[in-house]
Amino acid sequence: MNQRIAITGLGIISAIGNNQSDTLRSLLQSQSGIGEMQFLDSIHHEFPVGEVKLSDAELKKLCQIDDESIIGRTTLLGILAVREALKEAQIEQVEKHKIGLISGTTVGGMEKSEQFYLDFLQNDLHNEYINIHDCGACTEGIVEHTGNFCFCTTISTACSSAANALIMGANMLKAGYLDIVVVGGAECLSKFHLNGFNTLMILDKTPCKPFDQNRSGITLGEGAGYLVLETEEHAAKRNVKPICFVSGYGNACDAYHQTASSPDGKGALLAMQKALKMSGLDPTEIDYINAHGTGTQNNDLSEGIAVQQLFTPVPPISSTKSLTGHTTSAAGGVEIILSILAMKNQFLPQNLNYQDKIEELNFEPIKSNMLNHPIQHFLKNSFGFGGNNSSIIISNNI
Amino acid sequence: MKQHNVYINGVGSISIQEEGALALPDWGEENYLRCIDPPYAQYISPALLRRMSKVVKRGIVSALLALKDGGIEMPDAIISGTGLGCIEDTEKFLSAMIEQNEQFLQPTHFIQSTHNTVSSQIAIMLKCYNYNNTFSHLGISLENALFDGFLQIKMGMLSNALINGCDEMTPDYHLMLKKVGFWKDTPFQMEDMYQAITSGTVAGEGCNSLLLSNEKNEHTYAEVKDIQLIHLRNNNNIEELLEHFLDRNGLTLSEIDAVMSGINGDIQNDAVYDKLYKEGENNPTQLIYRHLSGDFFTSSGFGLIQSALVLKNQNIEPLLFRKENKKNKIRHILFHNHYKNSTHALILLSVCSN
Amino acid sequence: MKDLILELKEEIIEVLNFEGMTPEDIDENAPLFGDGLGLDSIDALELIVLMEKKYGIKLADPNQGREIFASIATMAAYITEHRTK
Repeated sequence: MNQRIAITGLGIISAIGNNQSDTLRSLLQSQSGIGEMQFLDSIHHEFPVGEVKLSDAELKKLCQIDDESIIGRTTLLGILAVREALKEAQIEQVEKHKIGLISGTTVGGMEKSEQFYLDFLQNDLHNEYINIHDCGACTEGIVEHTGNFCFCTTISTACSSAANALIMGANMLKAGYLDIVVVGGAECLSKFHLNGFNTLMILDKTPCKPFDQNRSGITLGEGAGYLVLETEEHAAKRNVKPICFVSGYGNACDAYHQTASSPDGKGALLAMQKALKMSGLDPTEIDYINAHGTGTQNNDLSEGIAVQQLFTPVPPISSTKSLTGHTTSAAGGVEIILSILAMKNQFLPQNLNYQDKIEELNFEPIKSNMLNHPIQHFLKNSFGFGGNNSSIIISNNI
Repeated sequence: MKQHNVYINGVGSISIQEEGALALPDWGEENYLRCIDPPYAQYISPALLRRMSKVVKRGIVSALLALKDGGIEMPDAIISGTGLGCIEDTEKFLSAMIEQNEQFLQPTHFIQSTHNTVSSQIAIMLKCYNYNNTFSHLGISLENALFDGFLQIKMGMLSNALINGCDEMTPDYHLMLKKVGFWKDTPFQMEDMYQAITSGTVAGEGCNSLLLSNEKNEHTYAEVKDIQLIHLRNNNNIEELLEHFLDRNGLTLSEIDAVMSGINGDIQNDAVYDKLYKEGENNPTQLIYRHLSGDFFTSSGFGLIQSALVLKNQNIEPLLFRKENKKNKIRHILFHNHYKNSTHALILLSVCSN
Repeated sequence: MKDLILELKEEIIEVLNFEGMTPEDIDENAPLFGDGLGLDSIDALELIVLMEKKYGIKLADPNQGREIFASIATMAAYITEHRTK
């Protein structure tokens, strides 16, 4: 139970890069990947999005998967990110290890189902896509193309899915059920959730402005982010140096409303407090917060209130969603990795598109990349619809 | 590290079964039955009720029943498993999106469509700020939720956990699953459960809740001794893994009194169990449940509840027997469910001595 | 206006799923939100969709809804003035 949980591999793909090094370059340049819809076949071009800059065909090619394969875009993104993470962790033959995969997704194969739904009901032209509709099938698809895991499962708690996957994975390691676990999430854009968020009138027609007084909603994105976790002892046995450690985590429920966050940010506060308690750290020891920071009036205020209740003063804080868009179920994985890249390169990432402080809050986010800024510990918030709030604390290995 | 025991202290179920003793449903021509719905207004206020789909209503009621049964008002955790999520609302939003070309869409169907809606709505109703999670992994979704709760109680992170397994089977999704070979073409007969000779099974739906706890008390049904969720790899065989699972609990298969398995009348599905479990004196009594609940991604919840009842009451209802009607003391039940022989769930349940 | 009020009551019962309720049960001057029918923010969004779909009135800002949806009577008045369908 007292074993430290080491992170030994990272894999990421999003609107700002197809792998870690491209992503780091974009981060350092504050280069956003948000722009007009290119690949998703929706009428709603009025909403900018953060798409991965590869078509399905190009993704299949990168994955070395036959073009005729029945496979969804979420799965393809997941495969690339999991492979990158396994490679960094020096895991060449998955079947030789007691290793699991825990993946977060909510879209699953919906981006295909929405294309073929009428066919599913009216004819037999695309029946093979029925089998890949649900979340679990998406994860099994990733497993099929990445390795023989002895355990795999799917968590679906909307925008906190990847963070909850990390929490579950860490618990399984501590309890000795697995030696290694790959955790994170994958989500591609779909018309279903683009239109869904639009009905809630929380999509921004310009690139999102997290923590800005005049913020007007979310910019949706897509991507995948996975981390390889194992105990410090196990990493040492394999002669693999930890990149950093999972120091603490917390999962709490806001229990307020299906889509809105509570005005006092109760669930957010509880999740952060649990994470701090587990880590044994004082709030003053947190050097950076990577916020959930979606850019909605509701989330940023609610999260901001919770943050300033817990931290006096509030440490440097930013949302990287103005670079990648909101990658929903993958956000926890993608954004923890962005934060780790920043930590390992000693800079604090900018909260792009910020101009004016939210009146009710006493802090401002990071206005430009702050270089030569060591980070020993950072906190990541991931909040999903239904009040599923999770917070993770990561500590550097130096 | 101190490990706590884990008990099943409360159960709740909404299924195709009427209240009272188990009865074999009339599967008719269609091999498809829907839940018997209780008066939801007794449990949920009209203001909330009007927005909820069937699966959410059922999930809330089965959860409330399990909590009441277990004498707990506020669980330490709410963890759900669902294979398809809130598919009725998903279908409503999706069809409207297609028919109306992405215009004039209703938010209610979207917000109620996410897989975690059941877990969230229970938390909102109870004002439960504690751990909340949802798994969606095909036919092992509930077992994953159960495992999450079990693991955390064992490690001392939780004192109790409310576990829910919920799925609804809408006519449209039933049609889609028919196209990929899930359902039986011929009218269901009990003989299919004794020896499957055709493919396909019968479709049901339901919500089943279990309250897990580290405390043994007057509510306790059974102890959850161990859980293993296995993703079969090329070089694995399930016989060895089963033996290893029992061995780590100090048991052999002949010491297991009953196996409650996911037999469902489908020839391929059942063959996996037939290879492992035989009839005869030194073999566990074979118990089955899917002819009573119908098959759906979280139907194992129904089977787990039946297993808990068997252990508590030391009585096996006749309809649960697959073949032989053995009447021994039931100390250990092995619950075994697999999904397409790719993932297996092994759960060891034991009687609680008082 | 009377027809529109009846029509709105029927639409609200349908769209917001007030099963078992009839137009006679709804007072057109009673508050829709908070007390009265007890609608919430999601219902407000549903009414915004209804306004656009049936009456061709597009509300860009959900906050505009607060005044317009005060009661069925205020809704009817606004629709009468701004409808394009």
